[in-house]
Amino acid sequence: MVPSTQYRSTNIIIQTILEGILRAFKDKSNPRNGIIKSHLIKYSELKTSIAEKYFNRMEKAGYISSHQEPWGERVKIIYEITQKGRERYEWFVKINTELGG
Amino acid sequence: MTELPNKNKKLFREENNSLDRFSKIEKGGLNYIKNERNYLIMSAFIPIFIIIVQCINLGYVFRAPPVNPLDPRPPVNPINVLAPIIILFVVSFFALVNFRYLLSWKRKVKSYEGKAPGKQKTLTSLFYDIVKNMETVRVIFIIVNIISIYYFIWFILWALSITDPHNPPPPLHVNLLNILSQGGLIIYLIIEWRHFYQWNRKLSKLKKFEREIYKEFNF
Repeated sequence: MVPSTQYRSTNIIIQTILEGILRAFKDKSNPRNGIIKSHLIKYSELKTSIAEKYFNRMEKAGYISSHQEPWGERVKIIYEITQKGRERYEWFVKINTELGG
Repeated sequence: MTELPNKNKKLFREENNSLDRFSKIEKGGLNYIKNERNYLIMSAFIPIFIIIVQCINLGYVFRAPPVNPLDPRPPVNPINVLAPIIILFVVSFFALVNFRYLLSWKRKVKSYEGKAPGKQKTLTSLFYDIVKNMETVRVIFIIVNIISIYYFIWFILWALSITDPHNPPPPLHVNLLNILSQGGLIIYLIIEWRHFYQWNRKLSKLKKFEREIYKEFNF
């Protein structure tokens, strides 16, 4: 039996990551349809190793997708939100807002 | 105007669609946060009013004039002193918890909107902040309810003692204030009960959602 606190801490991280990707759309200086990995780690306030674990799991679950973009001699990893990820985040916001007040 | 290549057109539409949807989500989220803020203001205002009435009650209990100036003043009934003090303490504590939270939350919302210095908050953390606060307040509210029942019983007994020839009747304004305080407390409890009923439903929905997400991730 998984303690409910674990469900919650996992969900907080997942929703924050999804929000980070969605919020990148608001940034007018962001030319791409996603967010750079390092920016997403910073937004989620996670250790790199933990963030990577979550990114991998979220990709496997079909919440996010990633691709690489060349950046000089190096490459940047860009994360995008999928339809499923967007739906899960909207669902989460709906639960939080529908009974408010 | 130069035409966008088909691929870019699709990307442009997707980007705009995502931006619109996020803006809509964000607007809904912030409206909800404002609603919760109104609830917290109301939640703190009514107890303050009840505290004022209880202070007047205490003043009356200690300074009530004797019925007959020639007779000695009847001794103060300790229950009549204790009841307002307990109510004063519990309601002040409840109001204080809500106020303290209101202030910290106001700062967090400003931080989310980028209007306050420091680390920017996320909408998710704001939502969970409310959930955490409501879970704590819910426990305190049970104590407020128990004390309120005690207060209602005390008030009925106190009101009956008005007809006691050995006790001086309180002045009309004290009676009116107490009736207003009772009415205020009943309205306050009804609003809080409705609010906590909605919160219980919401928390069970949220817990179900959290479990489903957890399962999808197969942790």
